[in-house]
Amino acid sequence: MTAPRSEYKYLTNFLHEQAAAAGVPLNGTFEVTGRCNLACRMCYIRQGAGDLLARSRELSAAQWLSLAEQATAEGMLFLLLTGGEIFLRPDFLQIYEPLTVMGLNLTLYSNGTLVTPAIARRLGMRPPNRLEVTLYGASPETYAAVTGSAEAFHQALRGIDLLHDAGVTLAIKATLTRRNVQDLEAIRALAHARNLPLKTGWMLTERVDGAPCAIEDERLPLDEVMAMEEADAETRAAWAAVDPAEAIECDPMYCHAGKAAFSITPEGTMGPCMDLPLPAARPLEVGFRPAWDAVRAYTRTVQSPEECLDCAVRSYCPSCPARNYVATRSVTSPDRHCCAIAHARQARFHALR
Amino acid sequence: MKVKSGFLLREIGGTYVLVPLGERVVDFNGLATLNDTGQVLWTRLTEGCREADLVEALTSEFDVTEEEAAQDVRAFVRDLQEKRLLEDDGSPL
Repeated sequence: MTAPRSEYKYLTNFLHEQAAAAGVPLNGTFEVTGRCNLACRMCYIRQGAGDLLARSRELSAAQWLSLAEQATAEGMLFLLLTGGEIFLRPDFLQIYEPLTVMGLNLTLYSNGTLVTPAIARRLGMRPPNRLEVTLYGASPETYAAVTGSAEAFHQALRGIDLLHDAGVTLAIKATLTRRNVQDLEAIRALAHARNLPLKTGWMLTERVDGAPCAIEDERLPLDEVMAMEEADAETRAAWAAVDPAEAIECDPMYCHAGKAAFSITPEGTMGPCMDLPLPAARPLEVGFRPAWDAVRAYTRTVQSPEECLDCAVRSYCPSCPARNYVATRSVTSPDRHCCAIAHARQARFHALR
Repeated sequence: MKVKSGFLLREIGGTYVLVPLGERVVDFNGLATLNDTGQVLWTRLTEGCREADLVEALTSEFDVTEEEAAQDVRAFVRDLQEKRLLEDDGSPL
């Protein structure tokens, strides 16, 4: 018998590698809604809470459960339920609770603002393995600037505390933008005060649906991002260790997407990950297995942009086919923001080798 | 002895994975893998049995001596006890 907690990461990696080799859809993401009660400027989905058209296209609870049963029969073990804001769906617990007895390792993503005492109590009775709440600032003013709602700050903290008190295993995430980066230390303090782990991210992508967005107005300046990476000892060491001359992985799909992982949109189309909604297979119409096979077949055809193949800064680049797709609507056209990050890293960290 | 209820033993891509269900996540939030012998022992322990039954299960399923099987069983049971996966039903080992 194996897998004490310290070996959990090793175990999950092992299971993913094994699943990819065998074509098992080990890891699923269900985007149960694209709608959200917040209106974050940098969000890659951002459908309004009252968007009736979007709501009418969302799969029903019964349809999500049917997909979950089919995917579990094919080997799904890890399932992420995300949005949009999952608790915007009044039937969310009707989706969630049956999943807790299917033999799945469940993760939920939420902004925390719609968590009520009743929701927290029911989640605490059959908790997910992890629930990650994103904080968008550490004050009502910052929340107003980022999400359009000042009161959402206190709602989010209340949600976190209700879930924490109910015994749900929590983690805090923070998406850093020009409008909230000044709150980073205060966000850290909020997480620390509750003894919760904090993950931060600064990589913002364009909208998945291709709708116009002013993402450049939200992204942190690259010199600020590089300073943050250099200040983090682990990240600094990792980039300083990079040898640009070293041959790197040639498979453009270098993660498990489309090999052991899949994602299903609120409307029920399936792709390798949330940022790459192709080939838009339809598991409810053709069956889960044929749809998964179509996603795997599509993933095998994905190529890198030609100009990336002999790029001198490729080792520093965060690019992937999904990022290229959301930025350019083509997996083979490079996302120029990734190019800029790669050059900035090379300039910053190469001399530290 | 018997293992606690509220777990599902799944075979995924050739690996046996033990997954807590529903409220069991409260006191066991994670996953465990079992090898072939662990899978046989766990399955017997879901119904409740004595140590001698487990040894017999291993010797009949695998090419091992009784002494080797007894060692494996004791190690497995100790592991279960450490992880608090055994029911405290007072039955003899």
